[in-house]
Amino acid sequence: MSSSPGIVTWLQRALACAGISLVAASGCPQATPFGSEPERQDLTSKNLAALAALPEKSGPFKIAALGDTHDDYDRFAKAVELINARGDIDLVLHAGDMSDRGLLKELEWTADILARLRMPFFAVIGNHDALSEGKEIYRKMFGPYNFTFTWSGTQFVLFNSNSLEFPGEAPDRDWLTTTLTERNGAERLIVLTHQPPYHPDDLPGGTAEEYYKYLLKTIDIDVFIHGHVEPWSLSMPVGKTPVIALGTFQKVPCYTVITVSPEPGAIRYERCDLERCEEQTLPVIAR
Amino acid sequence: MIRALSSILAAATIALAPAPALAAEPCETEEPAAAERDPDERDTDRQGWMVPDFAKLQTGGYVGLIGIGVGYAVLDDILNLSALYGFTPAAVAGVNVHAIGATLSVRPFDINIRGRLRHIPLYIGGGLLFGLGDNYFLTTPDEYNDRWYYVPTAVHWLLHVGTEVDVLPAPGGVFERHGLLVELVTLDTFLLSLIESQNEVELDDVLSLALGYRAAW
Repeated sequence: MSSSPGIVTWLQRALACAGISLVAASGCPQATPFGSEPERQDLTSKNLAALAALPEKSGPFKIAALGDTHDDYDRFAKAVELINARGDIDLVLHAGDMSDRGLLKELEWTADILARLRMPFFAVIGNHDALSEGKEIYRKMFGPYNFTFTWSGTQFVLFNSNSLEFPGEAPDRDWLTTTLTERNGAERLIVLTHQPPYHPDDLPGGTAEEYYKYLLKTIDIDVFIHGHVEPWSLSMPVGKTPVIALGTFQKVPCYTVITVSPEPGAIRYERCDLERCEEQTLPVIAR
Repeated sequence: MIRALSSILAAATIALAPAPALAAEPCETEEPAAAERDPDERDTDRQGWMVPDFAKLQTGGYVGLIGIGVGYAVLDDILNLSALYGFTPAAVAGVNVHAIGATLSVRPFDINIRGRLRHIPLYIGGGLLFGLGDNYFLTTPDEYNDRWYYVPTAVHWLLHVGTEVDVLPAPGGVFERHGLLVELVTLDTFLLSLIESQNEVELDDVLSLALGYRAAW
């Protein structure tokens, strides 16, 4: 003779059923962390289109720049909030290292925060971004590793300088030299990359540093912006080109505001932590 | 879709456990061998300690869309050591992903339901996830001056919690138990991001649901 399961058994089943269903319904569909298909794609071209739609400025305009934001998404979001709140930033530059290990989820967290900016933004690939499937993720999420655009009389050249992660490919010297030399008729030239022009990470026996010194000495670059290293600095290590080291946001959260003016050499710099901005000075360069 | 399927699967697993089979009292048709099974013994290890004790098939849990492997039940199935090969096709991940997950689970508690079902209500564990392929390394390549310039990209730590329901067939068959399991798994990089960025990173960002089947012999 058989009997139905007791109430205790049914209670156990009900509890287990509810627990498992709750867990299952939480929505955790990630099968692998090593994917390379980002939700947001072609951000560089989309932001170029957004920038082209903005009226060009004959007077001063402002750039906000930061880099190495990986692992610090809360404060990165705070910086984005502050940049938006200023109301006077025209475009944002990110010097790379948006992730720590090149995982898709890390780059998506960064892209979600960048997407809150109310102005166009552009990012270069950092060395950490090139790990795992990061190269492919960057290519899909943003676009080409090297690109240039002109706006309000200023040419921006953004390039991949990660020689160790892209042996033989970065920097693309032919492209970079040609692009910087041609200048597209722009009055000013601003360069953004991840590695510093002095002591960059390089292959054994590499000549990247010599190449960057050559560029700084021979090409009239108004500002050379980079990330990767601490501390924040504004200097002229080679020639008369101001070089801004943005610092590493994850260690010391800060962003830099660069005011670009039509007057030759009249570029102003502010270093901003998450509470205040302080003007930083260089001698005005007579041209 | 995965969310809906997993909910249905989990609910059905428990709800459809054969009620008539859970007889309170033995009757004439009950197999005599069932009375000889020790209800407290979870794993008989009939094949000896060298032979794996179970095969496992799962989806998710960061191992991949499909993971398959074997494992050992130690200390009467209180500890499970598993090794899974996982694959996620490019259609899902954007690139073909090959990985290996090696995990240890600690499962001290179980609820024996009339000798025919066993519910392990909660277990915890952890292990390693290895990414396979040219884009992953255990030590930084030689061209870097510092051997440990990067944290190895080929290996990540995993942590998981799970629950399992085992169906216990009549003794004498090939299989000793068939288990359906549900796990929530997190990865070292993601868990650290959650701890460090509690506003921007949410819990379901850092978890992967694993649904699996385990056949033990």
